[in-house]
Amino acid sequence: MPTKRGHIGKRGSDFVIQFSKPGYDVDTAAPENLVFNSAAKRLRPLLSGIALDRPSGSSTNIALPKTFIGLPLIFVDRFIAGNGVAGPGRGFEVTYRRGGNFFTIINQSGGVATFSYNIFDNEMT
Amino acid sequence: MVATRRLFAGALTPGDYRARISKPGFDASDPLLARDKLDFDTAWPFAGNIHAVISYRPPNPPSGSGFETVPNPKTLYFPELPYVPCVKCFLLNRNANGFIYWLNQTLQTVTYQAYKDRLDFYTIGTNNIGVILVAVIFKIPARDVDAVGTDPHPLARMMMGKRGTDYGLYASRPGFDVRTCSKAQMSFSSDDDFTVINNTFSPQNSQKGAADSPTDNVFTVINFSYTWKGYFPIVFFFATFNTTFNDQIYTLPSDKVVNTWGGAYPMDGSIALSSSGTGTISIRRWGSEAWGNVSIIVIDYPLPTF
Repeated sequence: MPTKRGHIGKRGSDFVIQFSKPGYDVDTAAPENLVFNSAAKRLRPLLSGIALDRPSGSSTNIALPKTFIGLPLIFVDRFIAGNGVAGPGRGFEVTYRRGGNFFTIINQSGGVATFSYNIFDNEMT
Repeated sequence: MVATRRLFAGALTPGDYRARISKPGFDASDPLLARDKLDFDTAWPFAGNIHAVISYRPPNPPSGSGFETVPNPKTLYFPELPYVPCVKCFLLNRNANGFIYWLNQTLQTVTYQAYKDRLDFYTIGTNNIGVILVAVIFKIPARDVDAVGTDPHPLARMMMGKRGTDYGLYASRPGFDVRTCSKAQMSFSSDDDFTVINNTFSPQNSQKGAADSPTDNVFTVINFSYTWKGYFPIVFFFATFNTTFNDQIYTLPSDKVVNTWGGAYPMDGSIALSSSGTGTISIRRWGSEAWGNVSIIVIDYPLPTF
């Protein structure tokens, strides 16, 4: 009888998706023998999007759907040329005020710029 | 009473195939459900997984604490992705593993320009360095070159079951057949290496610094803990500062020069880790009149070693 390697459904009171390593029964495998466990603590994407064509010198506030106790992991990138991005400090700056419900992208470049942002919720609630 | 549907697998909307798990009380099959009400979604890009950690150590001198001039920017390469990824850069002490700079007094700020296969690592300050440049490449699209102006996390295609010799749950990026595409062309693969958070540290209470004057080189020390897994892990460090308690500011780049005195004596600092699973944040010249707070994420992924 083949080993059961996938489980999608309830595990205790939680709903999970789990897959085990070859040779391990997903229902009894130790955590290190799971290749995937949807319940593991990871960076959870909270918000992502694009701020298109922001004028030079502009400040753009992006609303957050929650207020953080600490600080979220914030990625913001400025589109450059046809196929690249620049990080904060290269033509723009990003600020977030502790306890605030938005962050701000400040376009310090000499021209119109497009930004992408990805906010991750590192507070495991 | 009908239970809320917390597990969903199928077409969320026409053509958008996903597997999702919602938080208690929320319907996983609701296409409009906010991300913070979900525990898992195969369309997430993918949830902070690390694609590569690349680094550069100046070759000369081969050991010791000497400094060397390196190109600025310094180009570092990584295995190509089908999109431009999000990255985080930081500096590492040249001589001691597990010693991450929050801000280096000499180099000051680090920043980057990224492409699908490489990164130009910039230091703002001097480029005469004695530290290791490190960049963490995430499997998170910062820019889909073919999707400018749209959501960078488009719809996924999905399958559950056997794929080649693997067995699991898979979702491909738009334009790729999930049955035949490469792993790099997937937004989710259950047999990928998943990056897991070891611990987070976000004290609710802010505090003032220990430095009593602009030239006071005393360190403000904050301790935290993590689970020791046999290696020194990557730690992301964030901090807010201001003289006003309720208006502390966090700025990206996160290691930009911060000065709580308004003069020419910026703070600097580092994170030291120990094999017992404890860590110490040490910040120099944090003023006694300035409020601040720190927040860290310890990732179960080893720092580069040399």
